[in-house]
Amino acid sequence: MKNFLFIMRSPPYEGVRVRESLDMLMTVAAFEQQVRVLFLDDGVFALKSGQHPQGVGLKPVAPLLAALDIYGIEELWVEEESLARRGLHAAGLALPVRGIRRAAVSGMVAAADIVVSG
Amino acid sequence: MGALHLVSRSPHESSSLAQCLERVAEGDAVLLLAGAVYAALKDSVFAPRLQAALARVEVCALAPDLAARGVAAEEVLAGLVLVDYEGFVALSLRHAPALSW
Repeated sequence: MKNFLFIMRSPPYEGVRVRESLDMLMTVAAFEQQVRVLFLDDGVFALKSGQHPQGVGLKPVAPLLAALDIYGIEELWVEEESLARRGLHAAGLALPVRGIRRAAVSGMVAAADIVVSG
Repeated sequence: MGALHLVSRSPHESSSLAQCLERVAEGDAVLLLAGAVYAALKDSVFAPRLQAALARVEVCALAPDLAARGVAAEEVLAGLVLVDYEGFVALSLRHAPALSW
């Protein structure tokens, strides 16, 4: 078994990066690998609650995020500095995620066997 | 008749909004679209720069794009004008030329 770290850095609804990364990490989890997800930079916007992209003809990411639990992916992390810069608050997120300080990110990367960044 | 500046990239991943704001003239309008609507969040580090721009130009954000991204009206910086698609059309009639950043 390998330790995978998926780093989500792209905002939602700009192309399909977020959806493809989520598909990929669910596939990896289905093969019973250990999966951690870290939301960084504009990737944190995927976590914002109250998104209604159907109004502009786009698919919501919330159902995919909600499915992570079913795949046994429980380690969801968000960089606290990324939230603060963007004016987001932990209370306004759609999922329970753990906060990590920027200074600790390098340690999380070093602890992974494989890092997938999207 | 001032210009209409269309900005569509998040200010945190692209400097296009900052670059636009450095080139606007009094009487222009700036419309935040798509990922650029994240600039409208009042607690964002970008808010002071947008606030400063409001003294010279009208800054608008496209409401359907805010709703898509979960940004509620009460989270938006005061002074920004929220427009729907009809408002977008009205802006483009009141301003010329239009340019994208």
